[in-house]
Amino acid sequence: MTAVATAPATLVETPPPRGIARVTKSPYFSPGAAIVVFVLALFAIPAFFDAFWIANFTQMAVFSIVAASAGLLYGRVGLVSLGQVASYGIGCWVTMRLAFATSLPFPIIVVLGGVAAMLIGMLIGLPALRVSGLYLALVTLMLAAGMEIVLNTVKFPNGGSGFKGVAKTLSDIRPTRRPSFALTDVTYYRFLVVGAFVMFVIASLMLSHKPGRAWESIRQSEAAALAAGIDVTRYKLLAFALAAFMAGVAGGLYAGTVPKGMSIDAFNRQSAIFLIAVVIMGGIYSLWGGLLGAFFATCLLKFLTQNVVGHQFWTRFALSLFGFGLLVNLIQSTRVAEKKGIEA
Amino acid sequence: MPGLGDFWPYIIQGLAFGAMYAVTGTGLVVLYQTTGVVNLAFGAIGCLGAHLAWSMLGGSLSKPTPHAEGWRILAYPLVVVVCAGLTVAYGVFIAPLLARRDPLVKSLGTLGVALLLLGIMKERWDTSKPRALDLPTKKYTVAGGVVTTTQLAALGFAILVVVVVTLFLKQTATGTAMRAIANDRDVSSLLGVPTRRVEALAWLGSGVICGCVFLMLPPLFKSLDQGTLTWFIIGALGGAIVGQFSSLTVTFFASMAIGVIESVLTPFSDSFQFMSDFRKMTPFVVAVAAIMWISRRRTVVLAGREMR
Repeated sequence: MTAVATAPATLVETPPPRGIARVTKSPYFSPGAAIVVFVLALFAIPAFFDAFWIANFTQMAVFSIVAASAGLLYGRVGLVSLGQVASYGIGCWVTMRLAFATSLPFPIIVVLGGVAAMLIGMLIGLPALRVSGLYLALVTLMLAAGMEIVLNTVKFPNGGSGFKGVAKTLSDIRPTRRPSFALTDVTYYRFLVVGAFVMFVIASLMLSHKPGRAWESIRQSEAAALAAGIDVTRYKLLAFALAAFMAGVAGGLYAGTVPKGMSIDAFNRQSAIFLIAVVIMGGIYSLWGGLLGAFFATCLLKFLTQNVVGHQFWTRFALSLFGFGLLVNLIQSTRVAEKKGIEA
Repeated sequence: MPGLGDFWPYIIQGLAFGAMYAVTGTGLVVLYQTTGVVNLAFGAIGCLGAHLAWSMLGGSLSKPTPHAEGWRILAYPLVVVVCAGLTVAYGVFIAPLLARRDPLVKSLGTLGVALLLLGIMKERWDTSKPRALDLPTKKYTVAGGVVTTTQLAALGFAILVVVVVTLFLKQTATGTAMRAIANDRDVSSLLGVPTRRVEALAWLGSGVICGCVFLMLPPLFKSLDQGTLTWFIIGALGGAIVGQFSSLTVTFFASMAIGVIESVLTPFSDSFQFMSDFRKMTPFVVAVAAIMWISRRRTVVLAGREMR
């Protein structure tokens, strides 16, 4: 007679401690720190800084959204897109056109600008998702260059009639309207800060939930993600859509900062490359990197120009500084990876 | 609708620009094959060389197209020397620091150089006034169309470069070493191929090609515009992408086709305005279509190998 085997007590399944299963702290965008920065940006900056600095912080708020969108794609999904300025430009164009053509509330048309950028981004992104790495960077760079030509030809609306909405005479040019509750520079800055905060919260929520985990898995190994049952195409497309939406909304918000005659300079090939330098310098593995990069590119340069070396040295050499910074950052990250014994 | 005769000057112009795309594409392909770097600073380096030559020629705003006289004739070789020197300096001192990274990061490094040089050029040379760097040139009338010696030189140079580089890669020991490195860098190194030296040679070749291109490009553009010249590389990538960064012949013909298509769409300005307006998108449309075609089958990389 054999003894009946009984399961040892240690094998009895017990529920894991709740703390392990839960995400206790988001590494992407700590809510406490985000709220502190948000409140400071909303109240302290307008109270302590003059109009010149408000204008710079306004640019920073817009740029931080675009930088965060590019950083999200690169740092969290492993997709290098040099075409984020194309979505930025589309969002700006659609918002301006709707602002002149309709009487819809400004926040609604900004969202519609973001949706238009997202739809076009998805349309372009779907075939682009077949490629990755260098080829994806080149495709998106080509798309940015193509969009520059389109925007240069179509031109930004300025109060005229027809599809393009371009005025025929200088006297017909009108500024893009702002929301009725944010007509002054300070109130518009506050409106922008709220807009940027909302965008960062959306991105943070996505990163800390299922899409974020799927993106992380895809970034580490696409083959392993596929084997684990992750719908790689769907999640890559979602990342493209989110990034394009964020950039489009940023473009819409930017439309309200330019009083008359939007220039193509913010949406050209040089800006596309400058953006990736800013993103890499700010840091790609956290949404804070977008904010930091935007701070470097706007406020810090102005501060250095005014206080450290005169004659506009820092502003004039901004391109060189960011080019140098990009190079140093790449070399440094390679050294760190090699030191850790990990093949980068 | 324009007549056939209207196209002739544009075909000539297109062949000249296509030739410049082709030579640039050849420089990019050879370098990529040997080092895994797409040199996106090609345009910025060339543009800096052209600006230095312009200054050496005594360029000023009152003399937008200076002539070479006496010792100033050295300004033209200076373009090639500066381009070769800067490219080799990057290849020898900076590129090895990124050698273990994937081609994307290596290429992003060159974007940093492009921004660095562009910033210097914008600071040093006034960008608000038009400037040009001309080569001594003559005009000929061929079949009713005007052809300049610069256009002929560009076309001849492109053919020469493609033939010479192809023969060099196939017939010489260094060329074989370059192909071996392209195939497998680590194994080539184990077999005794001096990888560093061969890579430096590839950077040198690419730099010389860059210098030659930027001797002819400003006269063809009739301008020394920093943005146009620096980002000329993005258009030139079209042909190299069609050739999948490996085939010089395909790169050559694709680049020539892109140049001609881009140019012959110009006379449509009356009947099909949009074709004329968007003609500069040709390299991008061709390149994106080529990438889509190349990657029509989904692949994933597993343990360093591509799986379909």
